[in-house]
Amino acid sequence: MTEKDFELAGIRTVEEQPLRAKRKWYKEYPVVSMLFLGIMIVECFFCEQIMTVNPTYMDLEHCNVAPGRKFLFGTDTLGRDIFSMIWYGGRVSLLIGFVATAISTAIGVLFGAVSGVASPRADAFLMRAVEIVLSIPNLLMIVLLQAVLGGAGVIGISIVIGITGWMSIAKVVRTEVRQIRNSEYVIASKCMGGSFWHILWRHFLPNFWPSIMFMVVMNVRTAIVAESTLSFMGIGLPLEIVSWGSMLALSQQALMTGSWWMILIPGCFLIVTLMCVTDIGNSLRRDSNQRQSNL
Amino acid sequence: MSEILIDVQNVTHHFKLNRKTAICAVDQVSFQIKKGEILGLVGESGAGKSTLARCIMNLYQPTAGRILYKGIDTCDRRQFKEHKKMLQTKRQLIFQDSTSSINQRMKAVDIIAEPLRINHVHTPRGSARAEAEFQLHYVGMDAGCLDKYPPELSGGERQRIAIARALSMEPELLVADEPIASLDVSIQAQIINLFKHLQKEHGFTFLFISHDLAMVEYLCDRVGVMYQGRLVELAPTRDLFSNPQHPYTRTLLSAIPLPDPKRERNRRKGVYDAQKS
Ligand SMILES: Nc1ncnc2c1ncn2[C@@H]1O[C@H](COP(=O)(O)OP(=O)(O)O)[C@@H](O)[C@H]1O
Ligand SMILES: [Mg+2]
Repeated sequence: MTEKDFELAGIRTVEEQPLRAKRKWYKEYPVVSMLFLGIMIVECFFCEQIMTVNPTYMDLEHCNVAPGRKFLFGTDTLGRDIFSMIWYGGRVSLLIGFVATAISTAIGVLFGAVSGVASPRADAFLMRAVEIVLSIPNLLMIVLLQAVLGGAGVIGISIVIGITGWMSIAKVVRTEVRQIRNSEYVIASKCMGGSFWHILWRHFLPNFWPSIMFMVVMNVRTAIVAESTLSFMGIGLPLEIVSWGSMLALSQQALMTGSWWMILIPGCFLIVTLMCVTDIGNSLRRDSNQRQSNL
Repeated sequence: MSEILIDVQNVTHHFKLNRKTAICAVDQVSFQIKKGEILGLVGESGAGKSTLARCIMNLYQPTAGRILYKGIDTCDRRQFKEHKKMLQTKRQLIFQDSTSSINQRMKAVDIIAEPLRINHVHTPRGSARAEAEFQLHYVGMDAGCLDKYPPELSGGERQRIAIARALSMEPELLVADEPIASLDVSIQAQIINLFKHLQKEHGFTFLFISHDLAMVEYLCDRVGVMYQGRLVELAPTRDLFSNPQHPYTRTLLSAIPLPDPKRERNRRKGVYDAQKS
């Protein structure tokens, strides 16, 4: 093509002016929570370097030792070093949190999007199905699934938690998709030959992501709590697999012997992690609300 | 030049409002567009122009009638499926309202390159970004807009991004539904020249929908006039503007203001009444 054929009438470069008053970066993000959570994740990931002894080794000569120089956080009733277990078990707990969230988010997004683009009748059917599942208490469903699936491993329990936590995400996704599925850019994309996956990824996801971001982060919390609860009740991970939940499962014996460190230390780590996740989730919600009002 | 690209035969489209009533947005419309031709379609708003364009693009299934594109009946499910890929790449639609026809959460470069990505087209200009930049230049914008989001652009710039998106596939048939209605006059002229250039040099075929009669007169080879869902007149541009046959066309033409104030004062504006004629 020759550029001379037709004159470009209005090319005009627009100069960009930097914003003068930018908000301080540390006020926009929940820095403290992110820092804590980051440290936690890194230390759990590199737990091999941190651990002083093998966390699964049962040192039967040193059972129920209070925190001291040799055992920083003490040992539990089976003689395992709690300091090493914290990191080693944290890895499992966080892994379960993230894997379960990934599973539940994927199912929720997919189910919601399918329901959103389906015909009104199919949509009503799918949504009633979601409501029925939603009306079953979560823990009950997890316990039932756990019983059906049998033996519990880290991945197994993540799947069980994952496939019981997607319903609320699906409902939000479905509502958002129904709103935008008839907008012209989706029609245009379909007209150009865009497949369901393309439209989901390129058009739907960016639009509903801010609305479900908060729920996704909160799902991490729910999953970690669910794992701890299950393990605490003795139907989650067995005692041999170290996680924060299975560490807490020893607490009944610990209460009788008065060894506070067995409960308090894993409990504190659990609570701090959960608070960090909640804080990050809350600030995300605040952020997305603000951005929407800016549009 | 005389090969018929698209053949619209007795297309009717009803919108069902409820169980009892339906409105007839397009009523028994037939016309043909030859390859390399620009067909204008004018008519007041609500005349059914957009509905007809959407029927041609397979966005609506016509209630009755056939639309043949190169001999392929696009309203027939089976034939459409068979030639789906070709039909989706070779026909492009420019929507009337650019604010809603582009995703506000996508960057301009992604919007323009979207059809390329969908159809895995490898362009002569290399990357999708280079292609987007080229197309953006084509519609008269500089590369600085590539990484902007639509809310940061003006209405005219958004519309030109929508045009660039349609052009990026280098379609054979471009259905432009009032593409220049939201642009200011100098950019209107530029886009019109661009369309003319595309027709002359690259053999694009256009269905150009507009209510700007001056632009239609300048750009189009033939003009169809729609009124209440019907195509009341279809004639070569010169004939239509010099010797309108249908009373509605005459009314429409009489609404064009004249540049000479003396003649403008004496101009008689007609009122067309469908019941009377
Ligand atoms: N989705 C729809 N549902 C019901 N009626 C519609 C719809 N779209 C358009 N119409 C009606 O069809 C007629 C033609 O509309 P349209 O094709 O948009 O006109 P134009 O583009 O010529 O202004 C109008 O009377 C309008 O009210
Ligand atoms: Mg219209």
